[in-house]
Amino acid sequence: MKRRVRLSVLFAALVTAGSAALTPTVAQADDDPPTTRELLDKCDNGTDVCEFHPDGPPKDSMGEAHQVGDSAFNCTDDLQRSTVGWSDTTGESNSVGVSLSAEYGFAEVFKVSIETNYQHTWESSHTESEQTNIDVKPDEVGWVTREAQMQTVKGQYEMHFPDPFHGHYIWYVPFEATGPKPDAPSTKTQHTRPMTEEEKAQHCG
Amino acid sequence: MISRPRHGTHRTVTLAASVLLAGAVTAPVAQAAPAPTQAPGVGGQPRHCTLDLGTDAEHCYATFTEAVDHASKGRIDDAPASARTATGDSGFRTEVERLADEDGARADGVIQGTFFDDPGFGGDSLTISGEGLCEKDGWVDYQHDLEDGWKNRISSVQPWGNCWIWLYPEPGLGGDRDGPFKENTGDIGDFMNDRTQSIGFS
Repeated sequence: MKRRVRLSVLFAALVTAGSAALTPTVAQADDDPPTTRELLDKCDNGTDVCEFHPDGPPKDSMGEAHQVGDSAFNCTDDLQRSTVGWSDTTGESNSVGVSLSAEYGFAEVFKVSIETNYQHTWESSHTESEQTNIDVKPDEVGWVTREAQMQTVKGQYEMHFPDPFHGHYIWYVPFEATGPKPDAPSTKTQHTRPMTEEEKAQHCG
Repeated sequence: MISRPRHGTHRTVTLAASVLLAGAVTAPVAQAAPAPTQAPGVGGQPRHCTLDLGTDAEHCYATFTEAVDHASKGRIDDAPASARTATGDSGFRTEVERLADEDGARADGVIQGTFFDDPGFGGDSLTISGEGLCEKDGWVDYQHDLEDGWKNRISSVQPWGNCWIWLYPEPGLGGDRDGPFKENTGDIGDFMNDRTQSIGFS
């Protein structure tokens, strides 16, 4: 019991200390809260604790299908097999718009968290190159699209400051990042359609 | 590891002191507190609940982010922590004792741990917040007996707030013990998987 009381005083004093120190700047702090980027820049760069807590397993999704390589126009009277060479890089996006490949403290904390919790590394970008064959009928155009497998990780940074930062010792900062799923094959699809008159004039004239 | 019963004096002093904290840092919320989900888990989606150890109030939300917003009292921030040198200041202690006599609002929540139904931080979650950080002095600072709906379900855990997590298969920190879980743990292992009925934070 005695110990409990001692701890109580400690905690209460901490509260009091924080309050006393912060009172003059509260209005300013509330009117001008830090941005997520400003907070995350402090991660392991002015914090006692900076940890990332994922809020669930990574969620897989398919990236947007987009054309890779050039279109193949068949201006002959025969079926043509064209080889489309392409190289495509899938990047990442996140809620602060900063590449996690950069040497920011919060990026390192995030990547270590991914490795520890999910046993794989975080890829900020992945480049795939290939030669894809496509059969194009006469007067048609062919092209290749690619969809990359993506993963999204969401969670919260828990940051403890030795002194109040914008009025608080502890900040919880939501964060979300989407990047290429490591070691996951992408989907490549061959497409054909008849050329438009404009395309015929432009490519077969 | 020794657990200590919570004591009324602790609660009284802490709550009263929180008045000052609230006065100093309670602010227009950066993110408005989301409305609790009325029918959590509908559509087979995981529900994310918060439990305040100070009030035993539980609320459930559709997303973890909303739950954390709620656990931190509608902000993405907050709570007291350091300034430990202040504890040696008799002036502070006097002020604290004075405040202890006043009615007080609850301290802003300090998240102490999140518990998940499935391995890999999957499924439903329960985020527990309390009055402060854990002290790292070899004692259980906070404890909680799970309500029936959460008994024998926990498969992954995340300690927050400087806490280590201890899991027990009986209420009141009884029976076997597993831990400490010092960091995010996606699989607590077979020993206590789906067996937890009470939790200690140290």
